Amino acid sequence: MTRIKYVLALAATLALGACYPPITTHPVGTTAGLKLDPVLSGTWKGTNSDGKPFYMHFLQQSDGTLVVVIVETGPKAEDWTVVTATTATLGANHYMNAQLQWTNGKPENAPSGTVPVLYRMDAKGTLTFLLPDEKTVKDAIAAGRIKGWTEKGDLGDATITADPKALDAYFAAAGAAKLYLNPLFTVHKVD
Amino acid sequence: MRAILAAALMAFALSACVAVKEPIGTSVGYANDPALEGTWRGKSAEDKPEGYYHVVLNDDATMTVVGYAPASGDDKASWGTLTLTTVALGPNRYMNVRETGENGGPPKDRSAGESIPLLYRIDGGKLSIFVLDEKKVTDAIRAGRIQGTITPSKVGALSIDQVTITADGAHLDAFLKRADAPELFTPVMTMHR
Repeated sequence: MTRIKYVLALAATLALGACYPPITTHPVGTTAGLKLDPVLSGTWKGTNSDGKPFYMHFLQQSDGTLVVVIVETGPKAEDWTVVTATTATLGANHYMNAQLQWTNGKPENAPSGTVPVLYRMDAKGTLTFLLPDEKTVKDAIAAGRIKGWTEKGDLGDATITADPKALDAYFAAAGAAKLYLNPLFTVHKVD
Repeated sequence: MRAILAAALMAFALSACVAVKEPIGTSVGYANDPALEGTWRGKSAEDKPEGYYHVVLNDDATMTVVGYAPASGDDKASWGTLTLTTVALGPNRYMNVRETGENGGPPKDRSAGESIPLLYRIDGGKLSIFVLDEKKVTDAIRAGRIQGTITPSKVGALSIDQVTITADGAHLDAFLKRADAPELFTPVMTMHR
């Protein structure tokens, strides 16, 4: 089982020792085209599950990808994380294919796939990120609704291996949002 | 592309024509200043939007600064990292700053890897940063108040004196402990919470 060490946004907001979130071997959205979502650019601020405030800086890259620099702030701030991502819109769903790169300046040994993070913006400009629920993804794989495999045991990681066409068709459907049960965190734009 | 941590490092490096043989504070040891912890915003005279400077205290008496410079004009947004050590000498607080990363890679600046000595003051939510003033340090060296060298050099068509404080750590720290030591420094940047 792949483990991640630190508690920070996106993949890293999981508690210490938690499983790595479900990943896809292909990014979500390649058949529709991975396009930078300009809404995300700039600086956002939120509070993580430890109650620590953090900043997220989204940097657009010339190759159409995003670099996301996430830094805890305030007293007892400990961690900073860098994530690379691509974004795509499928149907009504906005996805960020995220991959953890560094934590506190050290390279992460993250799986080679990407985490399909769902994000939503409400009318007040609050941005909510959701991770796919591991058990729900495992159930979908077991039921044959999406191709993939899971490691043995309750803590085994789940990997969705569907080809790009099948993957995008699945994640474009309205039902795909059912994979995402609980908000990971919310942020609001500050700059 | 604009160098990373544009406001801070470039301003410090370009302003700091004074080198030191040893970082400040080696004779007394370093201790992180918790007053620096957290997020500061600021810019140099050359930068338009303010940058973000997130100061994280490490367990080894160093601090990491994760900086973010927003996009501006033709310059894309950029990010980078600095390592700081801090020391209090008498009434004066100093930091040694070294650039450690730029946009996920090694730093590209001429000053990369060099330790830049700075004086700082915190007044409420305001952080003022000062760099050694070339002329004032030159005068101090010539007056024999601190050991150092002044070497004429050329950068392109420009004639520049390379000023180096060669005093060892103990003498440098004793000198900078004096109440009048801040007179050798000149303001370079102000940040706020």
